[in-house]
Amino acid sequence: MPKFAPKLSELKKEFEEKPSLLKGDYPDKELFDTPVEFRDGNWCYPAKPEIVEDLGFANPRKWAPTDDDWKLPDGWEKTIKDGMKDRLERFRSFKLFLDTCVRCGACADKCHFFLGTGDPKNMPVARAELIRSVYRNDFPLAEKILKGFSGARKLTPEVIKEWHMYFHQCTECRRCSVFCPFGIDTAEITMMGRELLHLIGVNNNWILGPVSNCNRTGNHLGIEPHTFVQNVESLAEDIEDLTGVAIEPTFNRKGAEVLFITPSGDVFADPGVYTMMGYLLLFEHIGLDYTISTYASEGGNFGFFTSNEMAKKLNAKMYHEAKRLGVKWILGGECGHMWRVVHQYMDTMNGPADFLEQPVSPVTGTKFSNAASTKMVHIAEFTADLIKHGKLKLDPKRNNHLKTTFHDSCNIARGMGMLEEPRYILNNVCNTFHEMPENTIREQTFCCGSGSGINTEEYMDIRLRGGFPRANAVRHVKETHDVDSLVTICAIDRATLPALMNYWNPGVSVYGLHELVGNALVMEGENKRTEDLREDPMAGFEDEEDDED
Amino acid sequence: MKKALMPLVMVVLLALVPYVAVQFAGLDFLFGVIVPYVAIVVFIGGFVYRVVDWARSPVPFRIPTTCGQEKSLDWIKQNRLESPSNFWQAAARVLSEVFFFRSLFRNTRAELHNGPKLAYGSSKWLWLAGLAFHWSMLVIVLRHYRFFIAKVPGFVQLMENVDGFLDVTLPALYLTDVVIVAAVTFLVVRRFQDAKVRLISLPADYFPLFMIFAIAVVGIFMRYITKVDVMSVKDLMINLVHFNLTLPEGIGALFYVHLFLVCVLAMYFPFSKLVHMGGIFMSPTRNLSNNSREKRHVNPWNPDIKIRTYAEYEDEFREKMKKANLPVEKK
Amino acid sequence: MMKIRELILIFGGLALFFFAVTYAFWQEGKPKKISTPVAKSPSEQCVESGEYMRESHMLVLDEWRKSAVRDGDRIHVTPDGREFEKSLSTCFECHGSRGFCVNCHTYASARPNCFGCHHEM
Repeated sequence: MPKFAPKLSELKKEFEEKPSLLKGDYPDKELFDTPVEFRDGNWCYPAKPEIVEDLGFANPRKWAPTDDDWKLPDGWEKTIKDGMKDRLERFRSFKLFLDTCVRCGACADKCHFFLGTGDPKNMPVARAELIRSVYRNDFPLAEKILKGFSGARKLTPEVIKEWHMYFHQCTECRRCSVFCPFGIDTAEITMMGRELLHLIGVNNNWILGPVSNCNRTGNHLGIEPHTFVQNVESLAEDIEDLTGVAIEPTFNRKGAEVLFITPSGDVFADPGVYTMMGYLLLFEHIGLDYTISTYASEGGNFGFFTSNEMAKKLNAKMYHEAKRLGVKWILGGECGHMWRVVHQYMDTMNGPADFLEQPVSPVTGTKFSNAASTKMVHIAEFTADLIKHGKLKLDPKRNNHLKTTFHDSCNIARGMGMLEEPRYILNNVCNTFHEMPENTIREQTFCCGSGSGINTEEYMDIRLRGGFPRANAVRHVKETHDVDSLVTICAIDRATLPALMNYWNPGVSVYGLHELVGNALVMEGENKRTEDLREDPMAGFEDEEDDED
Repeated sequence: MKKALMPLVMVVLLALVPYVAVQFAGLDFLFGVIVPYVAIVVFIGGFVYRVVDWARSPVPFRIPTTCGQEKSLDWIKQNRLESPSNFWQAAARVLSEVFFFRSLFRNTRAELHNGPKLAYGSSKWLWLAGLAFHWSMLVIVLRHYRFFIAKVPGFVQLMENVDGFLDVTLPALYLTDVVIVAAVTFLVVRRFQDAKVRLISLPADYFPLFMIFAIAVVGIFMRYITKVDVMSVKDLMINLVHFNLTLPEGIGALFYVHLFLVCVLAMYFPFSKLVHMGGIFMSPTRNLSNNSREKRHVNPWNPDIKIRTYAEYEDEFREKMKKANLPVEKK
Repeated sequence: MMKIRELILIFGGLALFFFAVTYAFWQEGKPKKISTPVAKSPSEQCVESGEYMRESHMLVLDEWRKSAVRDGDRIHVTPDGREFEKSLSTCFECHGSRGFCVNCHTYASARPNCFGCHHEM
């Protein structure tokens, strides 16, 4: 059991016995009368001073959330208020969402953190009230006159502590925004909250570390170019051992048709690497003219979890590299927040990409008109098109040893709207796909509980609670359909769901969609396959000696 | 309960002010002429100010919340309403929110059972009560045009006929009168009963509910029970809209209570959460089309950011790259 | 910098809002001159005071209808002992004809349902 995780039996007991707002028990204290309490498992290590300094964020110092004094810089109140004013003028979303909420409560029980913790301040409306209360105190009009009337309060260090805690118990998943009659999106509030906190040096090392790495080495994990190459090549060797097919991916190659960018987790972390093997097999299968960059070697963007400026800085590498290499268009791998940025922000931030061409599938000739301007295609769109045109030789029986369900990642579902493509692919590469209950998938999907840069070990307590609604839905299909494989299209999911499954649903493994594609692809000149990409035996493909028994 | 007490007292006091002032101090002119003019100016001016103030902040990024399949490959069916790809689809999405509260219709209720196990039930009462409340409110407001326009327009008469079609009581009972009282009552009771909503409710949430309840009840009294002289009331209103500052004689004090509460609500409107009336049209998660990869969205303040260029990267890693047989720009 | 379409939408919307709220201000019309009843003789009084009748005549008529039709009680006795037959015709003896009613009722958009059965024109 991880060090920072609660004992399963104790957590279960807490769910069942402790009074909670979720179960209808009214707390004995009003919303803002409960002080925040930092304890093991509910706070992330603050960023190292040298990283903060290097990235140009404010107030580098040694501190911890458990300290009484957070060593906020002189005049921090003014910094926050000026920062708020500035953002109110730059983001209509921020201003509007602070003003229009009627506190109808429709969002209250939609947040996975509220469902997992029962903590009143994890109701999305309450999370926004953390900022709104300060906003009302200093900014708008008549309600200021009647302070108690409209829930206004003074900006104090306690408020900052509260912001830090609860803007890291929001994964910017937007589920609340689906249900809000005004479309109020807590992700916007959280983003602004985090930007403000960065102005006074309240931060999280698990976010700033990767940001710093990504800036220097091109990827979150800090992999230097030679290591990056080695790693992909070793995956290619694994593929050759397994299938007999030799694959030689190219790196930083000028004049390739397509630049392929995926989260670095797919190159380095288990089980993401199997998804990477799936991509490599797919590209080999169709003879794609592609290259991988060691400079733009990160699809994800942890800068997005600090400030829009930092998101832009890290994202800029994609176009910068595509231009240098002279590719025609960019193909993006499976990732959640990467696609939120690529789909909704990239062209605005770093476009126009007029040095690229509208993406066209070299195999099917399909023009991706939905990516006409950004010139970046999601691999699931690309693969679904290939399958639809019959360009892939697939044997879905090769995934018969897995009973699958599909986890929509928040950003893909609610920040992009790609719901059908992954299902179409999954149904073509395996025979055993079962959906989770309808309130937990598609636009109502639940976060893994660890998105937006909180997937760190020391935050395990909160992560396991936040992931509870997702785990619960998986358990449902595990019990009803013996599902043992949770398929995702998000690198953070692949990094965090295994721990969540081990905790709540032992026996369920986490897969990337293109790992299953890789399993099912019948390659030209391949050896007889008996094992999947994880070297687990496939059902019905046992060696012949076994069959004779 | 404490949070509901202050607004309750406020509404009672606000109701007493004009009653006492008109009945005992003879301040008809203040409450019949001056206050309504101030109210309408504040209402319109305040509302326009708020909307223009929102409009002054740009929408830097295209951030619709996609609640359905995006437009992608030809053979995949797009959800045009929940993931609109052009202006008209997005407009339809906004209007479906405005007229039918589409997002609220999705509402569910999460329940934690032993196991622990979460279950999600359909929960449409808030949607139903909210919709009933807002539509009744609209019909009632429009019906009141009969007091402001000498020759009552046809649409108002139609509305009266439909609203009163039951033809019970004298004068005919309006359905919306019943519905609005029931819906407001539900919305208040809900704020007390649901622990979650009770915790997040502020006095500022109870106040408009109590105001609207009081306004409706006083209106209902005047129509069905303690009559006022409708002719004089209409004369006053016609005078007001034609800037004729004469006050007809003999209007009951109850009418001034009704009018004053409406005026206070109108003045309160632009400076409170009630501006959601305008906000709903401007919400960037609903009114933008999900076509950000197809068409570039421009951020007017797009900052210049110094990035770490490839050249800088290669400078740091050139030797390592060469050893790994990676092509480099500078040998 | 706002896009032209956004400007049109926002200010168009505000114009619509302004027009809807001030709709009545743009309409023609004057306060109605209320017709005064012509009494048979100056000493003759109505069943109740003029003020009461202006506000609540419908209650009187409604009461008349119920008691006359259901209980057969066709005589109204005023507090000061005068007797009237419960009938619209009684009203019209002083108040002329249905035209007397229509005048105000149209102005206030209050449609009486008396004339569906009585004093049809």
